[in-house]
Amino acid sequence: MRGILKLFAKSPFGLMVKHAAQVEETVKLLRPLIEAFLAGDTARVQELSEEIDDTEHEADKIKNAVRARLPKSVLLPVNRGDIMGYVKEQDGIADAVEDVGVILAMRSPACLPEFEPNLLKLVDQVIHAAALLFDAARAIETLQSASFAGPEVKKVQKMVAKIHEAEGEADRLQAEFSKLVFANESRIDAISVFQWMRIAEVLGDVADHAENTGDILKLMLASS
Amino acid sequence: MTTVTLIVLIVGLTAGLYMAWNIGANDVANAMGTSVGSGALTLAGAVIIAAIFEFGGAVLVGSRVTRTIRSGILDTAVFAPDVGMFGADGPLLLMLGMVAALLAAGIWLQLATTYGLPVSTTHSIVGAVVGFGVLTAGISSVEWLTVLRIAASWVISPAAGGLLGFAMFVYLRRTILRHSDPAERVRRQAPLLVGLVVLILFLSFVYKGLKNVLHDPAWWMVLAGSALVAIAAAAGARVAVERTSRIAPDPYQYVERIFGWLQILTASFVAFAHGANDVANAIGPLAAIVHIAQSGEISGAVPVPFWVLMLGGFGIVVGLATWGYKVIRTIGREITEMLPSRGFSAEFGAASVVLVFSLLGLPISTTHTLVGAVIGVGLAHGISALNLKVVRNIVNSWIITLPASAVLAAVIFAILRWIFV
Repeated sequence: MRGILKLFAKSPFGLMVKHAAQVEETVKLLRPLIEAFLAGDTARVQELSEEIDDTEHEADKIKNAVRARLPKSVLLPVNRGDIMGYVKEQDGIADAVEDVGVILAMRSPACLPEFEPNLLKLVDQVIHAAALLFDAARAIETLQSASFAGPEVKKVQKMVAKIHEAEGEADRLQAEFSKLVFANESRIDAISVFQWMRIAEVLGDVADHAENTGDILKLMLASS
Repeated sequence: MTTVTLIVLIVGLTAGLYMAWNIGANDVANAMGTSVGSGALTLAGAVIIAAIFEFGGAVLVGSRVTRTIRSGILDTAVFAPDVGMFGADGPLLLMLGMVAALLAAGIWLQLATTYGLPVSTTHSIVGAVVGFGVLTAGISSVEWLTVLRIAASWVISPAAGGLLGFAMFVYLRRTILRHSDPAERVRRQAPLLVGLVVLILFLSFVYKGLKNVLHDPAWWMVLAGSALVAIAAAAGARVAVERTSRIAPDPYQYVERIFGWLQILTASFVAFAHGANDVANAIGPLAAIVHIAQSGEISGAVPVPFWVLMLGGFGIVVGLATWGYKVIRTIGREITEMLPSRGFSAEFGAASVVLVFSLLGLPISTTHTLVGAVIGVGLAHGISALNLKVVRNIVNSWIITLPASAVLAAVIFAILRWIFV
């Protein structure tokens, strides 16, 4: 009879959702970070950057726990590699947010008032893309009870399509912001220009990783 | 009956009860654990249902497998009084051998439980009987063809359980889970599923159980009777399902609630099939002892006395009530990854296979068949994570159990022979 009990391995799906929630905690700190920077509150920027570090580290731990549940002897309803890829990409979102904090905490780039609306638009758009992914991630457990079939699959596929749209918009806003910075290149120092390029890039990464995570989720459903 | 025979009979009855107790204590949790885990049954409810169906299966369908273990594995003519190779001692030696087999299987089981090995009660007793036969009357005294058939059934039964579990879950996936309105679909499918389970249960019950009462009822009577009962059960299920409220935030929650109820039915089915197949592990050797003690003869063709089956059923129920409930509680707490619809599929697959093999008179392992069925559901993408190392453990347990129980039986037999002969 113990044979039956030993048959059940720990499921990775609950942890995938938990990981999404932890990454979401990191993303939630992004807007306060930018706002603190725009307000010129460097102490607060420092503080938030450290807080992001901590939440990202927690996400890392969950990512490793998911991987620990995927030895070759475990039979899963979806491709093992897809689960690995999923948490890796999802973790990339938190890593990108962490990078924004690191850049801003290292050196405050010179900022012009006209940067502000475009920067906030870009930030809100990448947060929106990530939020769409977290909505899709929450469906994983329902998907599991539906054995990765049925109406729930279509719902998630639609969500993933929406993430694609959001990422496209983020790309556009990123290019727009970069252009704006270059248009003002003579008014700020070169190192700040470089910093803004990096910030725009890693902000774009937040949306990129959200998109990639969504794609793997879709793949997982297609191959199941 | 001589005094020695009487003493051996009493020792045999005790050993048989001990073995039945072991079966009830260890195996019954397989059937009920998941239902308790999903909250569909309380612990007390599980114990009561298991007791009723285990006893029913043992008494109504158990005699076929019992006969195989009692007189199918060994060429008992070797032990015939005077004409056999042991002369007048033959019948007594066979009795002692059966006592030794019961004790060996029981002890091996208890050892395995202590060290956490997934050992089958069925394999233990078959190994013990074969071991006794080989070491006392020689290799030729064992009916190797029967043993081969039994061993083959140990490979076929988990595979067949897996296939049925897989098929049932794929069916549920197609008809309910994949559908745009799973809640509505489960309302329509539930009566059909209830009808199917009840039909199989009743077919086996009428086919075997009523044979003793009606003496070969016509096939159409069997079929019509079972169909009527199944239709009545399905109608009842339909009324019951109509009464449930469909309000749940997530349609899959509603689906699983309905399957929580259906799973009680398959859990009962498993208990019935388990009683039918596994009672023989205790009662097979005991029936041989009782028969020899009563008649002093060795013959294979007499039916298994009803009271012996009752005794086996009773032993299982006592095991379940005194120890098995603890195991059910543990398993129920720890199996949380299994949704009721998956439990239903696995239990349906396992119980159907075990029942068919019982009717064929082949002793198989209920646990291994259930493991096969759960893996089948997993292969149909039904279970979030399955540890396939268990399959290796099962193969290992075959390799260890057969020689271990065989040697143990031979040693115990040698001791008993030294005491009684």
